[in-house]
Amino acid sequence: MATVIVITSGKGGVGKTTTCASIGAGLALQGHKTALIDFDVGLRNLDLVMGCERRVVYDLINVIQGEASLQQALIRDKRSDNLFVLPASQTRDKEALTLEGVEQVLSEMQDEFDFIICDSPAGIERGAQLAMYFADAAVIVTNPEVSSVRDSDRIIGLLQARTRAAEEGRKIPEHLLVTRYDPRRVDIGEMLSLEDVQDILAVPLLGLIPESEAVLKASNQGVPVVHDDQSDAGQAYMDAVRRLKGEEVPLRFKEMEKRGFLSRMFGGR
Amino acid sequence: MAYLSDKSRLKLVSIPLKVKGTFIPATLLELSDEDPVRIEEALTHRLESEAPLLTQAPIVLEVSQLPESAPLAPLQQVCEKLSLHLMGIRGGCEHQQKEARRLGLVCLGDSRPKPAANDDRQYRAKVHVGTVRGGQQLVHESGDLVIIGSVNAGSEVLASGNIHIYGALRGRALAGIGGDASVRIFCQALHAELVSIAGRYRPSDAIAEDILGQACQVWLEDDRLRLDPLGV
Repeated sequence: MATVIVITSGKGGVGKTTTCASIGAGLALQGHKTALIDFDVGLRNLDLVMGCERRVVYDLINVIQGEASLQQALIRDKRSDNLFVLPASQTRDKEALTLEGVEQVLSEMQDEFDFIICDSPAGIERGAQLAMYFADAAVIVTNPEVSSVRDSDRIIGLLQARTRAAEEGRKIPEHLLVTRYDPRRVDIGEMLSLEDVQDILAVPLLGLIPESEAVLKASNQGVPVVHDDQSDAGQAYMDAVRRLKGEEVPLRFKEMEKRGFLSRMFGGR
Repeated sequence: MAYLSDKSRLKLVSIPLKVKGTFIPATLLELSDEDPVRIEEALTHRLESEAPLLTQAPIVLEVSQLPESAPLAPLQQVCEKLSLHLMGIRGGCEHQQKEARRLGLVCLGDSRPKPAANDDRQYRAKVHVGTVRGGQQLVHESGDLVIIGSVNAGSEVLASGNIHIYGALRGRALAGIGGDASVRIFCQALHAELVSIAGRYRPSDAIAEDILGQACQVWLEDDRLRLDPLGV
């Protein structure tokens, strides 16, 4: 039986798709057969971040409407035999995404995979609610910034009310992932601190991803940043993946890097 | 209500009857003996002295003191014989009530007031465990509201009684929604969007900055809203 994990945030542009790609790739690197599903019908991005956009033939809506089989639509990742992407439709109407259709696709994938990661669209509308409805766990992606935190708070409320688990009186595990964290800006009061965010959201922390140039570079190249094990963001995502599996991993990248005498003398970051 | 059209209202007017609740006096006859002969004797004796109470008002037999096996038919016959208007019985076991219905009598319930503990409308506190999230609304219309957690921005908690928040108040809190001006709001850290007691409210920008973040109580003094720090 696969574990279905929804990556959600409420607000757009906080790093849901980046997180989906890196957590998925990280789980696959650890040997778990993983599928990523893009629920953002009309604004598909996951295929770009995964670098498989030129191999998209069929999509999620095609499968739901019976125009293609799951095997035809799933795209195998170039770097990992364990990783598959089910892209969203760029052209179809959002209404084609139905609860019954999503349930059918997920149940068909249940025995094939260890993890199914659902990349939620931004907002709290139908697409976001469908992405979270069948989840067994949720990763809430938040930037250390007031509006992002408030929207995540709203999404957590929905997770506790509008999922199959909630309707059956169960509560799914919630994980907080704070992205684009910049300790330097926290220090000078330009950014909410990790403590502030945790205080408001009251959800266990899965990881802290530092603001990093490596993320943008990775997205543009279509390689999940978790593959870049030299970068701080890549390492931070791998830490998060290991915590998701239940491992105890110490938190890194929360404090400003201690800069040595030479780097202070010669500048550069 | 919106869906009650004019047509349905007109129909109501044309109905040739009106349904109204009322209390009509009846005489309660408490029986402590089931023997129809002795009862007839006693009733006859009574009728000779204080007739109006027994003959003019309908009569209800209180049968709860009779043994469960006591038949009701002979008692009804006694009443008929003496021209008393027997309407129904009160109390009695299930078996007696069934017999009463068969005889065309009304079965009245036990009218003694129930203990207050069984009253659903009793003033009770409602306890919510967990954070109240943005977009959520928590309402308690019959008592205090206790929240073990924070009330986040964009959420709203309302109670007819006091509101106790064992966490930060970042959203809106409205106590005394039924008009009770004696209730208060308590919280561990005040960052409220709005607080209100019995309709008197204060939005966030009218809250003094020096009290922000403190453990506070909000209450009404002479119809003026006060926000005071808690503790020593």
